[in-house]
Amino acid sequence: MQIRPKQWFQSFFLTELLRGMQLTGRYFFGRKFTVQYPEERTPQSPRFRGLHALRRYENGEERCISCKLCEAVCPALAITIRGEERADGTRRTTVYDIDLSKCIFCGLCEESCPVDSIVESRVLDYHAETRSELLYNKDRLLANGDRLERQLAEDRAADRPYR
Amino acid sequence: MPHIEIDGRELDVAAGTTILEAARQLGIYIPVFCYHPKLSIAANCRMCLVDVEKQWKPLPACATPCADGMKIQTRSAKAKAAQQGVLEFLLINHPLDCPVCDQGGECPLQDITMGYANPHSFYQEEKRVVADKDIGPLIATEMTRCIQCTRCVRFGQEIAGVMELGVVGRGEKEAISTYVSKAVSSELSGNMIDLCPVGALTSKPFRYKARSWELKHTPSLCPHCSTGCNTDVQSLGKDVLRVLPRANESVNEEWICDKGRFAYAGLSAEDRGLTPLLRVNGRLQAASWGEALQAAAGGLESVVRKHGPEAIAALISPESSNEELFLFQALFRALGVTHIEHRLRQTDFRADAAMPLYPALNMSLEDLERERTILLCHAFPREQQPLTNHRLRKAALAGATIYAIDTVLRPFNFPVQGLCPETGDDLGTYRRLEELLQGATARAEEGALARLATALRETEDPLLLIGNDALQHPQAAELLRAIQGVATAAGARLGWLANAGNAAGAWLLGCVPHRRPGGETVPGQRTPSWSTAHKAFVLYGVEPEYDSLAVEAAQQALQEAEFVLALGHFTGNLPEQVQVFLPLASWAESAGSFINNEGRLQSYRAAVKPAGEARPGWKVLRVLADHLGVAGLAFNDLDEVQSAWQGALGDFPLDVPAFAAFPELAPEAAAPLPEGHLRLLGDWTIYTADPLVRRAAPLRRPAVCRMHPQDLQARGLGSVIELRRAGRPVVTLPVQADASVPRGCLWLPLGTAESVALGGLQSSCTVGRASSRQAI
Repeated sequence: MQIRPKQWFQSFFLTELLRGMQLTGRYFFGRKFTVQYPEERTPQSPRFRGLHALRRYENGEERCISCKLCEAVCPALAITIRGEERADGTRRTTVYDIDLSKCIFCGLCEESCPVDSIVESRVLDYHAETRSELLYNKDRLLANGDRLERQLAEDRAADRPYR
Repeated sequence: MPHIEIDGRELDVAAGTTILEAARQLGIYIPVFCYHPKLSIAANCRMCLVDVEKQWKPLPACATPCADGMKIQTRSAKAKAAQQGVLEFLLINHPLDCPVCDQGGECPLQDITMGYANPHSFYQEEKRVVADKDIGPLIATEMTRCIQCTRCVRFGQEIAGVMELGVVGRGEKEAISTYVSKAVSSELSGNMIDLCPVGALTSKPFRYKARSWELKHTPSLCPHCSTGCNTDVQSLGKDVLRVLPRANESVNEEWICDKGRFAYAGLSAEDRGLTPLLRVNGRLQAASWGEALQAAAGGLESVVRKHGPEAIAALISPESSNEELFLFQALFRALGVTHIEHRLRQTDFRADAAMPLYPALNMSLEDLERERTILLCHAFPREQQPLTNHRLRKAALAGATIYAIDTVLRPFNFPVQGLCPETGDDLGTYRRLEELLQGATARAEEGALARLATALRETEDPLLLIGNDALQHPQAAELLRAIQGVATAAGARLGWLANAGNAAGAWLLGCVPHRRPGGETVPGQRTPSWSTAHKAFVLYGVEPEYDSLAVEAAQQALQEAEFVLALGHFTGNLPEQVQVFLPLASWAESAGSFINNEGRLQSYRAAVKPAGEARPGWKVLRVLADHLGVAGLAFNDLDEVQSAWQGALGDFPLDVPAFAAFPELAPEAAAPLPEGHLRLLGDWTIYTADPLVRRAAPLRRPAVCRMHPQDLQARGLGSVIELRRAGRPVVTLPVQADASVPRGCLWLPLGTAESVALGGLQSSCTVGRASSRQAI
């Protein structure tokens, strides 16, 4: 067996171990990344794609006009819409369902919406115990929108220059 | 023959071919808005501009005939600049409301903008706004979207024959409008929705219901008249959302009438029968199929035991499919039932022996356009076969002379020489015409009839078409014989305008008491359908009071019946005596086939699942046969039923003699009218003709009766009258003055609640001024 001095030196003085410990030490003494979730949150982009919401105009009128572009564009077929003419002659939805167990959070619905009605909010920690709870209907989506409107509006405003 | 070159491809075209047609022959697409192959060329949208060599301006392809040596570029820089310019101008005033526009997804303007427009517009100013018009319950308008292609205007003028929409104003103020504010009433008006290349005219019943891309398309047929138009039933989930025409040059070209287009709205009527019903303690209650079928079979069997099978009358709607008609007659013939009938709109059956194998047009619909002289005998195809009427209109526009003999002058949409005897003696008119044709000298007052006789004599091969009203006539037998007399005397061909969707199928497949499938005669005497000799009635898709001519007789016969079984789609107008109701799947929910007026066999598929627990008719009949112990009908699928009826029928001719020999007709003296009474005339209107169409809310029109203006004046009647008949509730109806209604007669729209309340046309009534409270 041939003896190579460099290899022998490295094995004897445990240089690899020391190099490993050096990396550990760098992280040990360096700035900490750990976030104390859920008390602390990581920063999110205004374009974050989380839980869906249906928005309203300032006067309380729902934005959705039942154009069904989101339904058509949805690659996971998670959106179901039924529309009709409301008593005042406007085009409105009667059913707007998003099945979050199908949704892949691609954001195409939000992108296709001509009136900024369906949006994806920054909420990522919703949960459900049954599958049916993951089926968000129009009322629940509008409630999401009402609850999150301030943040949603700010995010849309922040993203406006790039759209 | 001009030799031209389009985009480098050479082509010889017939003289007079336009550049657009030549390009289409080569498969080169040129965008258009105003051009439509069935309409005249307007060349006002300018979208089809192409670059023609040695022409310094681009030329509209739709209006430029090809000339020899033309070199055309459709995608050169000049052509593209022209297309972009035109689109930019069109979009200046077009609102960007595609997300709420029903045309979105099937909009030529949207598509062509994506394909040809310059993505940037220089237009910064305000867009114009045009007020919407209310043009009735069928067409929704959004006139701001209009691009003034005038397709709708040209359609009204050239196809529908009613100039209802027109262009008013010039320049920026140019707009499509009705001249006086009124609803569009043409029976073909729905086609304007298809023609409109933008969302200016959209379907009101379909408004905002769905997007074109999400609809399932099912090739189907229209069951509402004997033309047999090809349709495309579009559905979403369980609901039929709209019906559009399917192009078939030899049947309906690319149109359908409003009845075929909007009748689907009746499918979701409130009284749609969703479960089998059984009468328990005097009330109809939901039951399971098993219970209901058992009760139906038990009821029929007990009548057979007590009174024999001859006491059953089996009545079927002529809108049923061939499969249903065949199974229906096979089932009841196997039981021994002799009275199997589809003709509820006929009361005089003395000419039965002379009736043809089936009511055949004896020519193709396309040939109808080439006729020179046509006499319509008691026919009003405009309401009864609208697309056959369209062929007649084309014949009239091509120079044919069309005459019509009827009890009342009907409003045709083409020039018709109408002959309506003032006395109401239509039978006499035909007889007199026959005499004139045989050489009798005309009296001075018979000018019109004499002219008709001359025209018939001078034309080589005139055509007589027999319509619905001839069969509905109280003296149908004499009338038909008189028509045959005229035809023989004039050497004319005879054709029938079959009076219901599948009347041809009903005749061929033996749903008449005196014929088996294929026309084999069944001997024996016959009783009227609504006779009290019948102790049980089977009503298949039939609403006795609304679909019969003899309403009063129907009510009386049902009153005395021991057992009434109804199979149908709706429960609203079921007679009180119905003990079992079995819900049937509608035409949109089941498959089958129809035979149209020409004898053309066409089949259709189910578009949606049956509503509730309703089941396709052939399945119900097959299971009912099992319950009744009838062997030989154990079919497992529709194809088996189809081969069974085709086997039983064999090949049938497309040309059948219109009449066989007439039997001896005993003269019937009409009972004189009591003093002050009015004779009742009437017909089903286009939108009351069958149970489905009666339930289509968008097609509902107020019932109006008609009287001669002098009668109205003599009786001092206003615009609303009361009709009274002994033993009947008083009926209040608006009345219209119409000089073509014979004196002493009243024209009643049938198939309405009012005509049912009055007891149909069976006798006479008195009229009076409505009290002011009711008039409001």
